[in-house]
Amino acid sequence: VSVSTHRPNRWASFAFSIALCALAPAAGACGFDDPSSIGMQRGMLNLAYPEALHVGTAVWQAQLAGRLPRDPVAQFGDLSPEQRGTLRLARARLLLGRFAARLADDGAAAPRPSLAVVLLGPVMWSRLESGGRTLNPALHVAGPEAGDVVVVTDIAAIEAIAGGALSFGEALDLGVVRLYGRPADVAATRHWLTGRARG
Amino acid sequence: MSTTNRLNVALVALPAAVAIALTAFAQAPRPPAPAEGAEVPAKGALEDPYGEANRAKGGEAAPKSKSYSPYAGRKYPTRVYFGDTHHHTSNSGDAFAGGNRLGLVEAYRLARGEEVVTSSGIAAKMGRPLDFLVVSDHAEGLGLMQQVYEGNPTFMADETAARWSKMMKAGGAEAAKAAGEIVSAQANNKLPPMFKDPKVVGSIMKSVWEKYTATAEKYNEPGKFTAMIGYEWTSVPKGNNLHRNILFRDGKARADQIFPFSSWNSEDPEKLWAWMEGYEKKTGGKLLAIPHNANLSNGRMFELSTFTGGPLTKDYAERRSRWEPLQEIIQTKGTSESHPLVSPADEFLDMGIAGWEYGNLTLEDGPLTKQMMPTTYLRTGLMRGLEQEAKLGANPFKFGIVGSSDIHNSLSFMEEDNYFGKMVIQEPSPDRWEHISKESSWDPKLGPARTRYTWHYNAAGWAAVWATENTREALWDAMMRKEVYGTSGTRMIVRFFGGWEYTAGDAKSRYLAEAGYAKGVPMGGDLAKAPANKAPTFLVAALKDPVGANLDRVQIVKGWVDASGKAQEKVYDIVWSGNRKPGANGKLPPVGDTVDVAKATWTNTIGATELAAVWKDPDFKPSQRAFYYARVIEIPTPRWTAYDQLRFGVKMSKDVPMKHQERAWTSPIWYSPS
Repeated sequence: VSVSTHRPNRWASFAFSIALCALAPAAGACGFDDPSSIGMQRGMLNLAYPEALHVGTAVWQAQLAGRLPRDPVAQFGDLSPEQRGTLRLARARLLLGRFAARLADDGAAAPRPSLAVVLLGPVMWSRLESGGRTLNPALHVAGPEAGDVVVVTDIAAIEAIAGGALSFGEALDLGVVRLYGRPADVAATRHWLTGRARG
Repeated sequence: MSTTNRLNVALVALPAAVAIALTAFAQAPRPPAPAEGAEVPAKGALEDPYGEANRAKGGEAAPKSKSYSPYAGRKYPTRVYFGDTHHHTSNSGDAFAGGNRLGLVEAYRLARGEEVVTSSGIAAKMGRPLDFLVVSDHAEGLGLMQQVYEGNPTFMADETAARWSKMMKAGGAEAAKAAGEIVSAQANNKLPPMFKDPKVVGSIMKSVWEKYTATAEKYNEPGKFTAMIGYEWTSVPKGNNLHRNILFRDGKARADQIFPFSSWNSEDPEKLWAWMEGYEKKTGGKLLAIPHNANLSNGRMFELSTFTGGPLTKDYAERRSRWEPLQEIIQTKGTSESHPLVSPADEFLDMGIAGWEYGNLTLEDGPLTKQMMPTTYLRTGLMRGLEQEAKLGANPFKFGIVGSSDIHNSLSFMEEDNYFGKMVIQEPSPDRWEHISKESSWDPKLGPARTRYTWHYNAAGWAAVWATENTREALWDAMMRKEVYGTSGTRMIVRFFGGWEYTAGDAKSRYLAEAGYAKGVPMGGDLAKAPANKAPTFLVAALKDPVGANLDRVQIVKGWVDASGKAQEKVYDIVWSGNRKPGANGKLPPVGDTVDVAKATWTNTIGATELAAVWKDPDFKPSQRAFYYARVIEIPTPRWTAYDQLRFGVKMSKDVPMKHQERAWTSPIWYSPS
């Protein structure tokens, strides 16, 4: 009986993954770091942010409906799990960077709340810390900080918003983004992003 | 029988069987629902606790009907009921920590055929409702996670729990931190000591239990849907799975007199049996236990010593077979029938092995080795039982067979085209197939890294119960007498009888079951007498799942103890579809394959709608004790992974199986020369 795990180029992809993680300013223990922890981490999300898991379903339903882009890595069935993880991490960092740049470039006059964005798939956290009129992105961090508005979403929604294919308001309506935090901060965030996120 | 004849028979028999079943169902009396809190009358409990009167003894003559109706006076079961004896809701700590927000109410509503939104936000409904459901939440910390989450004031006396409650109420980052700590503590068995202190949590868990039994009472509808009370005893020493599901014959009035015995009380099965005996003495009720996932026990499920290392005795054997009349052969976490390394001649051991053969439940304590396998799997366990019976005078491993799910998301959806996984994280999504559920890193003592993925999980299985009616008492009695079988998710109908006088004509009779009961014993029974110069005969009949696949073949698996005292096994092909002939190696050629993986479809253009035969053991020796069980194999059909690949437009690894042959396993019939 053969062991059926498919692991080509394991060490190469592992080394690449380590290199990518090292680029992160403050790497948290997300699903990219420890894939077997994702189930527990999603459970944690559902405890802290009720119905956060509904976002994942809304995302794939929007993908099937053609409203969100599909995961290109899902087409590479021959890649090992480690290789898929490595590609997805690189992609997530790239798209989150674009997303942060798009939000930072909105020219808002009023101070904005700091955001903690969690990608539901890998449960990967990033922070967009408000510096008054600027946003300072910190990708792949340990988690939210006090006072953050938590944005539960996934990479397909980030890609669509960052690329201008979907407005933040549409993302909220589709359920592919949910906001959690103090009601006043959530309302301020909703007002900020639904009015200005689409260029 | 030619294919044409078989199809003709099938065309006549299938609608007739459905009509008979529907008639029997329609005519079945509908007992009124008991009042809240009232005990359900224990039908037949005094005069015939296990329904033994429903069995004819081997070799007895058929009772002559004095009525015109051939069915007058009939007492044997005429319907098989499909259900799940192993189901977790948000009351189980691991289920709750994994994100499950569906409780008992949702579980029962789903099982009865209603539509519910899952914890992931998906509208979900079963293809076909179940006849019965046993919610078997873990006794350990029953409902406590939910109570912590909701800020039960009892926990405020504990500094850690109070801090968690405060953080959860704060929301945002604080809530995330608290949730992480709670989930981690639950997963690593590091909850504050007060969580295991009966003085603190006893009253809380008792109130959860009473709400639990009340909900079962509310949804139990005798004659229509059975909500059997149960729970899981979760013994897992060093990661070796020794879990048992405990099933109550009784209603709330009796069940509420106790609180479930958990592995926090003891991990020793003998202590569990003693508690079960105590329950019966105290309440007058009845319990049975169903162990599961022998495949994840690393040889401990059928070890030839007691839990504490003592020798097996006749008393041990009798107690074990009394309290544990059944074993779960398949579920989401693999198949426990046997393994190719110990049963190399069996070419149908390909379902539910990959991934699960890596080691025990938690992948601790080293990998599963070939040396462990003789006491790991059900078939080898049955074989060890025969050997022990010869030594001890009683068989410790004498059990019938069921399948069930062990799902932890309240969704007993063991349907390939409607599979919602075991945990919430495994509910439908494009990437669920590749999620890692358990992983061990390389270790000089424990060996190479081992990884279990969601794609290793089965959409399985069901418990099929031949009961006289759909009530707690009738279903429990059928389980106790082992007149049950397990399936991988199909709802094919299988009859299996053993006796000394079956003839080929019995398999062709419209009154097949009449002959089955009159001349022998049904699945789960014993052949105690061996008439001179006779070999046992077996009457087996299988009817395809009405909305499922055709049948490939029926096999009988025999285990026996040879002259040297060593147990042996052999698989016989008994009856099959088409005009196939066994080859020179004695193997029947494959049935064929109509599966279109890309479209996730198959056609019933091969196989048979029903198969029935009488088989006489050609190798029988009266002096050798033996067991026989039937295995019915369907033609190949798409696996849940094929449906996911199509629906989500993803490409999975080449090692992910896309099709399989669904099946059923009957409980054995034993022969003893004594």
